[in-house]
Amino acid sequence: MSVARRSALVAGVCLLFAAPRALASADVPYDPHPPPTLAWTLAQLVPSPEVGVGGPHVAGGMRWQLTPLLYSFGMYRKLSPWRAFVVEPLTRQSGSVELFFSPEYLSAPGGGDEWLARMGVHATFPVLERGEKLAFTLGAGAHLGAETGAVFEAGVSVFAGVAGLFFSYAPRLTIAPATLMLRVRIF
Amino acid sequence: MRPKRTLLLAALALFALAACVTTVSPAHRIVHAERPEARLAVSWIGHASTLVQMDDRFILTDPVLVDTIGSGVSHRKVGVPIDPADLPPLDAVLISHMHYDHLSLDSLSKIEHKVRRLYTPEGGLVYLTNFSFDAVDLARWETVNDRGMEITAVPVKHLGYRYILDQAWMHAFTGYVVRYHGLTVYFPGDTAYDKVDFAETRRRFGHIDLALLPIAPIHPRGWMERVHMDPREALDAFADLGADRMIPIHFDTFFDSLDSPHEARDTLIRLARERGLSDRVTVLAIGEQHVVIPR
Repeated sequence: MSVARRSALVAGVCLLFAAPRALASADVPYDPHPPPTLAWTLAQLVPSPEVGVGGPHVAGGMRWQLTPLLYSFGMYRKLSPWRAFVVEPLTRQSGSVELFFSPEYLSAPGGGDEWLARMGVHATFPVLERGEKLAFTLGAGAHLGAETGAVFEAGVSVFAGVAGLFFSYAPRLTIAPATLMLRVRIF
Repeated sequence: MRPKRTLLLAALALFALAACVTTVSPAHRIVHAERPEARLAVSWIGHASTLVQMDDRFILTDPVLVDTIGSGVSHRKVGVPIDPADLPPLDAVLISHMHYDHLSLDSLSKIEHKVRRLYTPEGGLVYLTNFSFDAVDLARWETVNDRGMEITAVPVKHLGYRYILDQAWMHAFTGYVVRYHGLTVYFPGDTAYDKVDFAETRRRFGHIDLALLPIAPIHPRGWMERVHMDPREALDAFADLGADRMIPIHFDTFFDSLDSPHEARDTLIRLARERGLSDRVTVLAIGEQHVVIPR
């Protein structure tokens, strides 16, 4: 990538985060955009367990979750709606659209194992107590690895998104086309 | 057993017990929230929720107008004594910090159309979600003039997080002083005893008509003293602030400690009597109203 392109990309990202705040209000409130910390990074290593069916054998697995970019349409309007990586729970749960990236490990006893990654878009909608008590999520994307194909997801989450149950369907994923994940998410 | 382990077990036990509490109806109900005969009046809705009337202005502090908080985990011991529909238009809602028993999003949904402006500590708006009313966050010692009403964020000693796991970034907590038409009211939300903060608040504001001071939870004191005043410390704070009157808050509403029933209230009444302050300390029951300064 040329220096000019890289500069334009950096400027674009800065504008993406700064513009809504500047436009929102003359008296811009404090909006810290928490950066990743060591504790947060370590917390992201906690996997979400899952079970997969539809393949030759029942599979078990683990999934990790990252949010490179999120747009919240439920957070208070004077704040920037954009978040990257660290996402305050209500920012997601009150209504949001996000890019997701999920490394995943699936293993089926007698049927081999597989590393893959899912990526795509999640949309989260609040149901109870502005999403803090209950929210539901729809998603679509692709899985990449030994096999590539489409992924469709739906799930519900409680306790500010810390816990949830997510169903995922990937028709071209031989080892486990359908998975049910107990989502554990520490922001 | 090591202290940390003891605290963790105590916290888990409290968590479990809080979920088992049965909510009883309040003995008093607030039907006429507005008191025409008052310049300064307070209605105690329970915990840190008070409706403060300062002449023609109404201020609601840390509103909890639902029977359960914390995603349904913690139940009120005494029900909400006012129908949110009976609340007057609210000139200001003060949120002291983001804990579930102080920022109740469900409660705010019930009064959304009545709120003219809501105040949070600096950085608190991120947990507010997109309500239709105006909201402002205030930094320490920042003052806004809200149509003749001066609202100042004053320092207190507490914790800011809501989910524990968010303590890396959420440090929003504050007290408030509201001045209007020569009346001054102090509301700290939750606070530990901090003589320096109280003395500085007194120095800056001079005269405080009313201090709404939390008196619980008390036990386990080794943990609570870092974040909550007990009745003795609340009376010390009352003296440090130099306030004329005190109304205790933050007791007998939720199961949130190892205190015995009414321990904080009874201790405060006894200590106030011993210090000769009984005529300046008014203990309300949930749903009771009190005219602090008549017209």
